[in-house]
Amino acid sequence: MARKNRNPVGKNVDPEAQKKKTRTLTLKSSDGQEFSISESAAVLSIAIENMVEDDCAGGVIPLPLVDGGTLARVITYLNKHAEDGASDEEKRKFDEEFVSGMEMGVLFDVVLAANYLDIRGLLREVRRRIADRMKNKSVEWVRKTFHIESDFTPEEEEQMKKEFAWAWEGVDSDVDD
Amino acid sequence: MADEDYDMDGAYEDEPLEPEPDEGAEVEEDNNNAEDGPDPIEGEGDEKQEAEPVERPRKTSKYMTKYERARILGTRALQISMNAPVMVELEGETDPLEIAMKELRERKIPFTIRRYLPDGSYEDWGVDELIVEDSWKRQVGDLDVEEVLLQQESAFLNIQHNDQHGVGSSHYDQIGNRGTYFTDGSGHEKGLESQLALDEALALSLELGDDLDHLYISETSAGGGDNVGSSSREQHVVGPVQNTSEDNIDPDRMTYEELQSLGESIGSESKGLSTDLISRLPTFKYKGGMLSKKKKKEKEECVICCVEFKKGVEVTTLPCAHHYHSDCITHWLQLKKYCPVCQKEVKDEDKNSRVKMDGSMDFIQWVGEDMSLKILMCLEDPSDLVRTSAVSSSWRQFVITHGLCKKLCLRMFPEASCFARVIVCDKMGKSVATGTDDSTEWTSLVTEHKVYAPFSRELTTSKTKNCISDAIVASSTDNYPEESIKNTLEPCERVNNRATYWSSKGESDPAAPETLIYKLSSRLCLITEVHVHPFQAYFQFGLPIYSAKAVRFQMGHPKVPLQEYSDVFDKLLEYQDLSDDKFVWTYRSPEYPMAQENRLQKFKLPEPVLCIGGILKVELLGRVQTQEMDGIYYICINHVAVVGGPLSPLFDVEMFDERGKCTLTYNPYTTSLKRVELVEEGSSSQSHFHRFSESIRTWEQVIINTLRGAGPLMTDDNDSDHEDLD
Repeated sequence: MARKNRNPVGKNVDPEAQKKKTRTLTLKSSDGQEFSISESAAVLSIAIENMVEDDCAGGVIPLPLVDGGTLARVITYLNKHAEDGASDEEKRKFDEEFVSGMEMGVLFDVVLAANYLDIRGLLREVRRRIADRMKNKSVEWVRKTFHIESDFTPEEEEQMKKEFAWAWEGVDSDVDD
Repeated sequence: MADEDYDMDGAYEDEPLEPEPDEGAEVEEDNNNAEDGPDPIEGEGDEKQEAEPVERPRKTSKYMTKYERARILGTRALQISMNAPVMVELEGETDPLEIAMKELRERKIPFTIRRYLPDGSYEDWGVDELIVEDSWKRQVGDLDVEEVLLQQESAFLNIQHNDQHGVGSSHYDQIGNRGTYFTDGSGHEKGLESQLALDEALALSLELGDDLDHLYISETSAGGGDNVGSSSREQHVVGPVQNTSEDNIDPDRMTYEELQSLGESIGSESKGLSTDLISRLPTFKYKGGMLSKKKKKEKEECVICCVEFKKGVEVTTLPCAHHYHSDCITHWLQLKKYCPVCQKEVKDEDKNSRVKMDGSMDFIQWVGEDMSLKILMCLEDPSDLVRTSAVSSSWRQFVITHGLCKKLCLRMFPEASCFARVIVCDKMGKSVATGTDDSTEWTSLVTEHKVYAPFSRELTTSKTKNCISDAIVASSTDNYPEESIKNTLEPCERVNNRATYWSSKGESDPAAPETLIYKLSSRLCLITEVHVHPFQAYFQFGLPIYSAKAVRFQMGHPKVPLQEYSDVFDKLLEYQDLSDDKFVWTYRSPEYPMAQENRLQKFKLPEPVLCIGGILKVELLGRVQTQEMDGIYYICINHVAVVGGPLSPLFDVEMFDERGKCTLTYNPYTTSLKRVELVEEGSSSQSHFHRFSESIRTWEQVIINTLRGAGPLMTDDNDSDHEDLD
């Protein structure tokens, strides 16, 4: 009670934010699954924010380019980042763990969803993560990770290795990490 | 259904004999209309009737179809966005599409539309010859758009009921300007109407599941009721009836219209998207101004129907972020699977039905080019990029096409933007035949890749050392040569008991600046720090330190083209005729305060700087120390060192033009040769000084006498005393 009295201004300043916290939106994935999410978390996605602002949302926001599994992941991310108590350090750690376990295909789905939903932080994080899987890795390892078959002839490969010999020096050994 | 039957570049349809569904924009528009009469977007297309211009040698419509228009605008906008010269006066427009529309309005688009006919021949129509109906809104004048559409709709309903006599034409009359075309001769008018009815019937029949018998009946009722249709008309529609009933289709003998209807009845599905996917595209109710964040006054319109988005209308957004009326784009996507404006394919993003990463799916295709680019831009090591380009040929193509190595290099060192051209040399030291004129874009991209990859690598790995090779000139020297700038090459205070420092001339204004200009050991150096050691006059009373208030550094290149540089340079050096204005300065560091202390003061640049041209200038800003004897200010510097890495001699830079652009050359073959040169050069920087000190020895007596005139003479004993004091 005393606390409330001491800080009445803080409450009045942002009634909108308060409203957002309580209001929930429903997001509908391409495969028809529906997810509830607080508006304050959902508007971390610029695309959803625009839809809410333009009032295109109605009751349910259809996200025809995001499937259920991916949307669930994205919502986990949004909820964490909209959390009041979470410090930047905590969020950073969360991001780290959030992305680290993902398979390549999942990463791609998430990066596309983040792009479509315009969630800058997530987009940056996942992009960096995908790039990390190429950093200092041998060509063969990258091919394996990204499921790509080489269509170079052995001569062409040899030529490239000769031309840019330095790029083949000191790469990580081919172990999964 | 069909769409455009023209070809923008002449290579669009290479099998004209095949009954392509692409034949015949004209008839098909009417079909659309029949199917969704009240559709305001489609309603716009119907005035583009095929008028059968008998007197013209060309027989296709002189009206530009909306598909042609959309594609022209799209293609033109793309060109404009790629810096094609704009053909109209601009009034602040920046959106390429807007500019393209303006050009079309002013008929300035330099395109020719090639409409292929079924027999393989074609007709060329200049964009300026075709009647563009995009301005129809303006032409109808006061009439409300909705009203016009209603009229059109009722006109068609009338036609559908074979009630075309009189009623139809009166409707056209009401629609204003277009009447001028339709009413110039009753024959035309009737021909038009009968064809409308014919097309209507055709569309209806198609809608009813390719029931071609029905089509035939409809046709006869339309054509038969009025004598204008003529025998050839009937034949047109009879054709498809025969053809589709069995396999003996002979497209060669079919007429244009037959092929159109045939194409419509058989060929459209394969090219379009499933309704399921189309329905999953994001659709919104338009709220006004929501699609672009631009100023509100700019109206947004659907490029397919050229009608402004109105509030509340359904708008669909494609993954490429282009917006259309939901109805318009639905029709389009049933025919084609790409965006009308940017031609980007609308892909089936349905994750469930999509093949998961199983080796057949390349990630560049999966996440799209833009995203791939952003991902690969996260790679900051050139060796990562090179290995990425070795993964597969599509990756290699991607890395090279987007010039990722160059982008990386420019991100690290924006200074490198002055390289207008790169050259790879062969074993003979000549530039490999990527001749500037005949080289295609791809070969020059490959060359850039080959140069920027090792260049970026060189920039990330270069070792640091002192890279001054020679002192060029000082803005002033009190006593030449004994107080020459050459003395600052030597780190010691004294050589052979002779003080080695540079002294400016005296100034009564403490703000008067001085500059020292040095030549670096390579024309390409990566500079991280500059060290300056002020000189303490150990031989003067009170041991004054003639430091400066602050220093600043600039880097650049000589104005003289670098080829002539060495000859001219030596000559100029000889005459000390190298003033500041002989150089162009491309980099300027922040100002660093200098301490009034007798020590080597190190100034680290905020970022390593790529010095292109190999000239560095030390600016000494402001004076602090007066000489007791004459009471005016001097600056004296004991030593200057530039810490950085001269780039490998495999790289060189040539020819600065007046805009400061130059060529980066890469010569991967002359390693051994150049290394030797480098070593020599390295040792020569030492010998420069020693040669100099040799010459000066004879001056030793003079030096002592001239040091600040009556300044105390130094003996060895005194020297050591002062050293102790230091």
